[in-house]
Amino acid sequence: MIQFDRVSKAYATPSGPKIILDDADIHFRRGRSVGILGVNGAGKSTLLRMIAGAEAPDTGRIIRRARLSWPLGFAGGFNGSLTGAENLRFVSRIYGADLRSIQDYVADFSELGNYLHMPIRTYSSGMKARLAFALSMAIDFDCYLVDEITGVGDRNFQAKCRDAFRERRGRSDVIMVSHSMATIREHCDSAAVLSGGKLTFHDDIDEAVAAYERQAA
Amino acid sequence: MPPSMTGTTTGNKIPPVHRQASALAIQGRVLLAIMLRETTTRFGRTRFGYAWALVEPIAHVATLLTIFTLLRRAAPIGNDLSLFFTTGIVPWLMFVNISSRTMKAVDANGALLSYPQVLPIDIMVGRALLESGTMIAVFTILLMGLGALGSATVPGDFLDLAGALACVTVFATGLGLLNGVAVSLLPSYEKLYTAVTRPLYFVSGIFFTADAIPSPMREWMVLNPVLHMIEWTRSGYFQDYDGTHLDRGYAVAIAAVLLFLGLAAERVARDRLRRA
Repeated sequence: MIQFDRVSKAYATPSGPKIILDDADIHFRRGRSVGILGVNGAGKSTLLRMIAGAEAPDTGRIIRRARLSWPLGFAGGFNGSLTGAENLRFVSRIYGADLRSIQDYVADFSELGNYLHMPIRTYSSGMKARLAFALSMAIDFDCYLVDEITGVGDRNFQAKCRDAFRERRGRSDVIMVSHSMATIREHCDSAAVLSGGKLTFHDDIDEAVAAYERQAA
Repeated sequence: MPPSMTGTTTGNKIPPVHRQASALAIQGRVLLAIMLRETTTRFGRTRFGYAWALVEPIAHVATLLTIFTLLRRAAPIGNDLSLFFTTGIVPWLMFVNISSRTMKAVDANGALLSYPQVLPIDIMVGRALLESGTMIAVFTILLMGLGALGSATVPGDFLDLAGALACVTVFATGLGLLNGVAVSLLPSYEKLYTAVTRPLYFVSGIFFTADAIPSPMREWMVLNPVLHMIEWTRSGYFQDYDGTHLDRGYAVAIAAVLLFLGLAAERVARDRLRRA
């Protein structure tokens, strides 16, 4: 589904280059949901952005054979002066999705009511997150890229999100970055550890967690 | 490789639920979405909306008209000063607005770059095209207004006029792309650019024709491509005017070179623009 072909990526930092991937071959397979583990600053979010295509590798190729979501969990892609509905129309257009059905779905799921026709800057952060989550569920992605999804909205809405996600898992995969092992155990069937410029897959999440904890210690 | 959403599907057991789209089709719909969005942010937020686009050129024409009427000057072409100024101000504002708004496009819409299929160039070109279209609409409305007052007629050579405005658009878009990359490298470039373009107002032939410039100075002033583009606009509009110092080939060549350099700069700086 997603193939990294000899990909290297590094960042210049004041204390020298920070290597995220070093000549790495990675293959994410269809039908498999992966949690990505790694110590703080290992480059998990950058890796996710590279998978999404929002960041280019320094060298190597990334081949995508699936419709991938943007990295979820951020609400930065909205314009504050536009209304929720206007922002929805933009995203629907760039994904070539049907404007009407997306808006209906989001209106129903997000429970934003009339706020959908108010400028985003009047939203609370919880409302923004609800809009972003509803929108990502409205578009049919083959694989959802999730960056540290934390509590969105109240308990009721969180339950609704979990249900929607679980239901979606029947036909879509997840690649998830999280510090919460419980979250990864809930949504993923395998895990991978990012360290030393390589991503190592483990079929068993407990095994991955053990490998990760050996490094973190 | 371009971050297109989908590549070829081979060996997928589960068929994808979406249509396959080529990179070009994706870029097309992204460009359209950006233009529609920019239209809302630019015009939809204030009470008078689109009317504001008319205020700037009308204010310029009115100011020049007042000064030249007080000085008792006659129009160098035709017999109507307001028409002469309008045909100079519109290509000028087209140039200034496209090149400076394209410069600020990525900064204003950086959030959109979190969507992988949105490239910096889409944001910049979308803005440039909207700005060009806006100025063409403004020009049409002003000419219709002047026509209703009895001073404007239909353009003498419609194709030539369209060519002039297309040349301004290409030139200003290329420059705007270069500006956008320059600003990402050096934020204070924006001030520098404004400082450099402002004096150009006085030497680009907005309120005089190239013929009126005395000889030793003219050899230098005809190097300014904006002067040629304004002369070209007037040559296309006025039936019986054809600028003797107008060199269409020079204007087109400069525009083409700038567009090429602008596109190349965006390509080289794309990752940088994404992170900025």
